[in-house]
Amino acid sequence: MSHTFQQKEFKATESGANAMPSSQPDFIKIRDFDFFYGDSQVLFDLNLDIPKQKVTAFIGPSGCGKSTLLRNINRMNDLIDGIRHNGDITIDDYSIFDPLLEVISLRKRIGMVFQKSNPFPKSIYENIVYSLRVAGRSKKSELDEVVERSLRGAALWEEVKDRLSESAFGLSGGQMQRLCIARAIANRPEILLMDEPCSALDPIATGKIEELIHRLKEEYTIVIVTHNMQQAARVSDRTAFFYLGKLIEYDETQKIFMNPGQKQTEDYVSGRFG
Amino acid sequence: MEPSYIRELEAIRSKFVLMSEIVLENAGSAIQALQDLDLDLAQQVVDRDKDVDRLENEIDADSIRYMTLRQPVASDMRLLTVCIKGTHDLERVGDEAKAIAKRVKMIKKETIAAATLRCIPEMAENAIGMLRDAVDALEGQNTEKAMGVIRRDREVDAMNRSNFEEYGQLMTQRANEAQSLLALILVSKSIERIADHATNIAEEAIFLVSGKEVRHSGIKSKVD
Ligand SMILES: Nc1ncnc2c1ncn2[C@@H]1O[C@H](COP(=O)(O)OP(=O)(O)OP(=O)(O)O)[C@@H](O)[C@H]1O
Ligand SMILES: [Mg+2]
Repeated sequence: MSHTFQQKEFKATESGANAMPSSQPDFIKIRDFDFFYGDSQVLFDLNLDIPKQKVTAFIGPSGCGKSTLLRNINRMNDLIDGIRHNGDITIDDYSIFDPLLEVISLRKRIGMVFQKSNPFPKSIYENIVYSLRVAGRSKKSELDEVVERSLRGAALWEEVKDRLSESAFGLSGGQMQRLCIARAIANRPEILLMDEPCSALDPIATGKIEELIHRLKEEYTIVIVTHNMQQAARVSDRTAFFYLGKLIEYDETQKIFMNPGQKQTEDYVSGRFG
Repeated sequence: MEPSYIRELEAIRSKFVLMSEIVLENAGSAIQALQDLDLDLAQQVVDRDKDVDRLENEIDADSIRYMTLRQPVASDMRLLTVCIKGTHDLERVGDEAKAIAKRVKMIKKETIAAATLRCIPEMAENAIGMLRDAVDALEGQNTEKAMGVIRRDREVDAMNRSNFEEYGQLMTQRANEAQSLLALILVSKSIERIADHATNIAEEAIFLVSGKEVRHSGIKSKVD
């Protein structure tokens, strides 16, 4: 496993501290992290730092644990019986497993977009404001504003602004996925987790989402799981390659795709695996 | 089982090796034709250069098609860029071999008889040896060998400079052989160019193995 990147990043932080006092490159820190479903361990001693307002891609063969790690970051796995972990994950140096932390408040900071878009059986408008209503916010002007801001943020506003009260199920696959992104950013989270967000989309819709990811990173810290190597290369700043629950290599995306340090990584990104 | 596109990549690599073998043979034959004033052999060199040009086009087309359809990364991508750049160097070596072959008929027997070939055979042996090593370094991913090629370029440069001086002086003394002597100056320049292309290919070999670009990096002075 490669630790060099963290060390490099750490040094850069120290020396760059004067130049950019407010920048906080390592936002999410994963430390000595093991994860178990019952008796079976699926993540092994993971250590990686995810920088703020950058796109980090998780790649690796099916079953290597990408989704499991992603779902740990917002504690989505809590719903599953028999799970257990060692080590820690911190956001802004605050442990997400702290017993005093309310999971609801954690999830407010983190939006999640899934492989299959999963709009609620409601109107486009209600899909976006749902979580705000649950939180007890119902002022029309406020909700209107959130809807417009989120839809603009997800590059969907122009396409749906005249049909906000229509069902979300009338949207195309690509539009639905962008609606889910709009819903994920409605609460102004800091982190966006995306698990194969484009796997069901055509190249045009995929291009739109990728362009959107590119824009969203100005505001959000994005972690994306993808099986599409070209997509990882196009959208991410850093790439982590996992194999059988272990982090094999984590580095600048261009390093991973141009000249990776590990043979396993090279074999995987160049399609020689298995 | 190996994925089929790995075999496609292997086929491009084999074509590159074939092209380099033809170019090496042509360069050697051109020098032989010069030493023996063998016009038939010289003509063969000129004719065979068409194969070199054809292979350059094929390898470039194959590489571009592979990049478009397979979207290679990492060392696969480097191999293809090295093939495209390397075929360009090989094609130029082929042109220099052809140029040498074409000069053979400008050279008089007495110029050769007077042993005025000077260091041309040795210089050619060096340059062609560098090309052989550069191609081997590329094939065997051997950076040590590639460094050796880069190191030797200076010797060939020095030989070319002394040829220029000596043939220049001879021209004033032996005006009736001026055309022969001019041809030898141009041959010397062609050999020096062959060594330059060998050096380029050696630099590409280093890039292929390490991913590091060593052109224009002052490596030539560093390896001394
Ligand atoms: N709820 C669960 N209970 C038990 N095992 C699980 C559960 N979810 C996932 N696993 C196992 O954990 C391992 C990692 O699965 P995970 O879904 O994280 O992989 P992945 O890298 O996201 O794969 P894919 O690319 O196919 O989505 C797999 O072996 C999987 O079978
Ligand atoms: Mg998954």
